[in-house]
Parts: sequence; C-alpha cells; structure tokens
Amino acid sequence: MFYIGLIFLGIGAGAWAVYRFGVGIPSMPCFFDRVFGMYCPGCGGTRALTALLHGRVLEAVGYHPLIPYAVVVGGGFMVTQGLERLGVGHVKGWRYHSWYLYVGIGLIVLNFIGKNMFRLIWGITM
Amino acid sequence: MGKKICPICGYRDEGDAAYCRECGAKMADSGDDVWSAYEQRGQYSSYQENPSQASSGDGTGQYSGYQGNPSQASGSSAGQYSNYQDYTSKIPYQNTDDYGAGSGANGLQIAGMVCGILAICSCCCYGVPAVVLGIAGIICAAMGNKSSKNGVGTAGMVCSVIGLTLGVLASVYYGMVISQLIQMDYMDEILDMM
Repeated sequence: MFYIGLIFLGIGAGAWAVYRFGVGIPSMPCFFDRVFGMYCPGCGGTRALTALLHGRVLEAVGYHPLIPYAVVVGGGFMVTQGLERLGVGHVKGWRYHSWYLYVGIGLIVLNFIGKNMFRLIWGITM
Repeated sequence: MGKKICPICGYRDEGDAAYCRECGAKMADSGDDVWSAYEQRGQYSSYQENPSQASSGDGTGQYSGYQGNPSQASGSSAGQYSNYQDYTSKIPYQNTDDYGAGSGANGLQIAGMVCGILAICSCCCYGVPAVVLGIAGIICAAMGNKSSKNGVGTAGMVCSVIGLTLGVLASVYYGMVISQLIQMDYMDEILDMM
C-alpha cells in the first residue's frame, strides 16, 4: 500500500506541476455542466486544493470534502508509514483499511448529490 | 493472558494484534497448547537468539531444520500441516504492507479503486486523464480480481468503468468544441490570450 501511495503521489505531483508551471492549458467550461446541466462529481476539487494549500480548511471542505479527507487520511497513512519504515521515534504506521476508500466514494456521491440538489431544487449555485 | 506470539517468526506482542508486525502471519495466543509446546521446545527462541546459526547449514534458509523434520514441526497440532510450506500457504497476509488489513483486498484491487475514484473526479479535465485512469483502473481491478474477488475489486471495476465512460464522453465533447473553434479561427486567439 505504501508503495502504491508513493506512485500516486508522484503522478499527482507531476500532474499538478504540469497544470501549474507547464504548458498553458486553456480553460474550458465543464462538459458535464454543459451536457447534463449538473455539477460533475469532481466539481470544486481544484478550488478545494487551492483553499487547503492556503490554509482555509472549512472553505476546502465546502468546495469538495474529498480533498481534505484525502489529505488527512492519505497524508496520515503515508507519513506514519514512512516514519515507521525509517525507524523514526518508534512511530507505528497506520494500517490500511478498505473503509478508507469506501468513505472516499461516499464523499464523492454526497458532494455530487448535495451540490446538485442545492442547484436544481433551490437554485443555489456553488 | 492477552499476550500473543507469532507461530512463524516467534515475534511476541504484548498487545492484542491479530497479525504479526514482523512477518504478517496470523498471531496465536501464547497460552494455546500448540504454541506453548513450541515455546517449551525452544524451536523459535533459538532462532530469535541466534538467527545466523538458524540460517546457516544446508542453505534452505532459517527454517531448514523445521522443514527437515515435519513431524516435529506439526507437534501437537495433530498433523494439520505436514510441513512449513503447507502451513505458510494458509497464511492470508505474508506481505508486511498488508498486515492487519483484515480486508482481503490485494494491492492491484486497491490501485484499481483509487484509479477509478480519480477517473470520476477528473472527467471534466478534458477527459484525457479520466480515460487513462479509467483504463488503468480496469486493468488493475481485473488483474486483482483474478487472484481474489471481493468488494474492493468490484467497486474498483465499477468506478473505473464509470470514470472511463465519463472520460470518453468528455473527450468527444471537448474534441468537437476545439474542432469548431479551429474552424472558426477562434482557437489561435484563445491560445494567444494564454
């Protein structure tokens, strides 16, 4: 699990570097919004990550709860596992549990349904 | 008693760990008859005290003596396992990465599920990342499901298929939009503005 996490961290860092410093990618409207008239399941992810990097945790939760959750659970798992493997201070690494992933899926579904309910039923855009 | 002992490597845990922190084998109560017998014989304690001695000899590794005398190894466990290989083949988690997991999911299934989740979330990024992650997730989940099928593998496959579908739809949509912009000579202006 630890090595799988390292691979995904590397891919994520590379994708972020390309997005942030690489070739200019023109911004296009979300296809999900245009085609289906709804927010997509990942809507707010970039804003949540930006808010989190600026220390605005509650704002990040509002944009997309999966991002702060992934940072806390994934980050905690990787850091504690890394410290245990390095033998730093008798730290015991977190153990992997499948519910980590099921909660992640639940947050995506919750974000998708919740935001679209606000938009379609009450007309509140986010 | 609350004290556990690993039947494979002899690691002792004062806590209530279900799996060995050293080798990943299922822990047994040190008070159980079979392991008490092992402790009394000192089969594992000798290895712990002098690993170099245990691993020397005929080159078959640290359990060479154990393998060489299956009847002694089975001890009071009523011959359930005839040798060390038979016993270790029944151990659910031998990879230290997975010890204590208790989920039964293997690494490929977990990777497939993570790819599926990321594919769904990245479908609006021109669709390309979702297509790549969706295909990777399907391959990982399918390969993982070959060895053992469980909820994580199935969820990974479902998420990956959804992510791939959304990614393909997004790619087609953005492809059509960009081709229209190129035909209308707007794309150069957009790129110049970047």
